[in-house]
Amino acid sequence: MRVLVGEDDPVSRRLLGAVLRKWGYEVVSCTEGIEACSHLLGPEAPKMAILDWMMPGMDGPHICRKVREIPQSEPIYIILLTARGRSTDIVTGLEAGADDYITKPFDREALRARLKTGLRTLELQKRLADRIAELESTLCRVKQLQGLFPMCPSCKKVRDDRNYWEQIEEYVTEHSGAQFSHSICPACYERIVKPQLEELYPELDL
Amino acid sequence: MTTRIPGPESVLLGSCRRLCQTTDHGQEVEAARVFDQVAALMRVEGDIELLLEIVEVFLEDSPRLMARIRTALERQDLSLLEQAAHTLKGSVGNFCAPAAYAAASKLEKFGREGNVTGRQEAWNELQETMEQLRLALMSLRDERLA
Repeated sequence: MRVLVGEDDPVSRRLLGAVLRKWGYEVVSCTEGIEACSHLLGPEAPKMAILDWMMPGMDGPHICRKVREIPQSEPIYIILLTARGRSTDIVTGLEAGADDYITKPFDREALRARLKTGLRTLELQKRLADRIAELESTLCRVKQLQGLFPMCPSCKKVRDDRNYWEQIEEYVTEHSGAQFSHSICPACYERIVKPQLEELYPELDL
Repeated sequence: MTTRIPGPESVLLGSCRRLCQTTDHGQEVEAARVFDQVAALMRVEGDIELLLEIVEVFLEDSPRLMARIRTALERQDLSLLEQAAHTLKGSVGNFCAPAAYAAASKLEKFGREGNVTGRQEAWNELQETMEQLRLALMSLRDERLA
């Protein structure tokens, strides 16, 4: 997992980078807010970020707002890291769009646990997104079946969206997954089957 | 001839032993206020190489931050004062140096709230505690290199 570290203090940046690498994360570092923001809005954006509150150019909460403004194909888990520890700061950071918050100097175990929480959250969000995509795809097919489709009044064939005429059974099966078995309704039995049987087997009392 | 490089445990133990050998409790407490070496080593899980690496970065970078704070005070630029003191506070916090941390926090607060009274004293205090911290960190580095 790649993690973006946005931190202008070189000591904290070096320490954080070393600790994250030790835990198996791939680290991308930057020293300025605007640079951090463009990393997160870029095509190869890391899925996790640890951002310092105060950075030259753009501060952490501002970056959170920018990132949340633009819909992402996959969500980014953002942890704000700062020496500001007042409860009003925590509320401001979370309301700006941060997922979590940790104060400096950071406690290693707390940071490790929060990163794991972040990974779990991202995994759950991904599974949820996959399931929604699957449901949307199914719903799309059901909608096609519910829509208006042209049917020949004589042979009852249906014209599909590729302009082919097919049996209504095939069409419905393709668009809904329903299967057909065959039977004869009482009216058709009286009208078609019974006269044929009487003709073939006149001795039978039908 | 080979030189044995002490592992993290022996470095931690050595630091603890030195502290225990200190006879004057007051001096010991005062030293820990400047730079709590044991706590700093524990923060890096006994990784002395990593600690020395960030010590080098700090010794190189902290004069720049101090110069920014001085410029902010001279220009009475409160925003710059808050930002520079905040960054220094975060940097110092990695070394478990409560005296310098408190002095930087005080100047950050001056920047945020715009108070004038006591600003010079706070700056003097920061200079003094930062000098003590730098000396303690240089001593750690030199001890290691010796």
